[in-house]
Amino acid sequence: MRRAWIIALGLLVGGLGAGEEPWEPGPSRGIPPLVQTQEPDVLDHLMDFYQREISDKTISRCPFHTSCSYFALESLRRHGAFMGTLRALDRLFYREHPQARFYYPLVKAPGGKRKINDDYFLEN
Amino acid sequence: MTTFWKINLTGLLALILTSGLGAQDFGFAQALMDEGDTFRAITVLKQIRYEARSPEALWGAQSRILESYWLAGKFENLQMEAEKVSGESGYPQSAGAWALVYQGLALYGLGQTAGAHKTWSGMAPQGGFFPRAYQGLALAKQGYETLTKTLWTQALKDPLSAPETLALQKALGILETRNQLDQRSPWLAGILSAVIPGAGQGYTGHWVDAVGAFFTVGLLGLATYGVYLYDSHFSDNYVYTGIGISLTSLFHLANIFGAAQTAGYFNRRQTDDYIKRLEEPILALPRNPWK
Repeated sequence: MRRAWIIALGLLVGGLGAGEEPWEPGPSRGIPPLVQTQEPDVLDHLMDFYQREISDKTISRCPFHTSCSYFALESLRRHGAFMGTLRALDRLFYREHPQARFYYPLVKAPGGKRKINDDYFLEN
Repeated sequence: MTTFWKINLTGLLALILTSGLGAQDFGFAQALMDEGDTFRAITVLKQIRYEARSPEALWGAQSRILESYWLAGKFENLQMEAEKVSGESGYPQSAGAWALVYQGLALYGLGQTAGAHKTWSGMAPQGGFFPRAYQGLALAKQGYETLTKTLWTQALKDPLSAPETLALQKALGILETRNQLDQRSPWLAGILSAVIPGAGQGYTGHWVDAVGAFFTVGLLGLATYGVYLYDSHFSDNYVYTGIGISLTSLFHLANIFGAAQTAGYFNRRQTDDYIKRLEEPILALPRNPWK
């Protein structure tokens, strides 16, 4: 009788551990984790200073999913000094306004807020 | 131990041992899928798959898992699960073809349209309706509308069900509207903005951007003119004028470049909306690979 209870308990506990999270991709697929291999440069330090000392102290927040400072940094990195500057100026002075939500798609940002997605202007 | 407890313990043991046999009930999972609760549906289906005792039951669960991942937009998971079907034994013969269809869908969802096309084209013409219909979509997305039209017109000649025929006819109708898409010339937008700051943005419908560009470049230009007047009267050099001209030029160039980019974005949105309308009748067709 005791053996029967042990078997029953074993089957029950074994059944409970059968599932895995449906979104988990499973065993390793050989995809390496994203690692930042680049050393921080002057732009990173400037960006860090701006975001820590200036941006945090202002009241308004960028309505875009990619913040203006990050957009400027990425533009300079991807497209060089001149074209990057033109893109950054275009974003900061001409395209950044509350009515931009009527021109571009909205995406859900962390925190549940909806932000404007204009990644096209960064990638093209 | 008394008879009462012996009977109850035997019943409990029987219940535990036979619980696996009753697990191939897809009704609950299907109800969850119909509600759009794909997260829970997949959890239930994976349990059923784990306890499956026959290839049909295994495929019944796995096919529904594939469909749920597609509906949930989890394309990497979909790709992995579809590869499982190709790589593992224990599935019925028809599962292989469906696995390729879903592999193609995973690549399509991940934006790897060329890869998706390659997967589906490798199945044609034996693959049936879905590989050819999806192949047409992949071709249209890459700009080969003529090939899509040829493919779908040929597919219509085969014996198809009424929903499949209707879907293809609707998609072919939408395909015809490709040349009627509203487009904007980036060059013209740039030239317009060069002449009048903001005109290029207005040409693409971004009127608030246009007003902002007009006043920004306009005010900078006026300020530069003011600085020039100051320099000409009170200074023996034009350093400040030079700075003013440089700044105004930079902002004006940014305005021209922004106008051209905005026109390109306008065209991209038009194309994306067209592709979405084209996809709708084809992708909305129920696949039901478990039937």
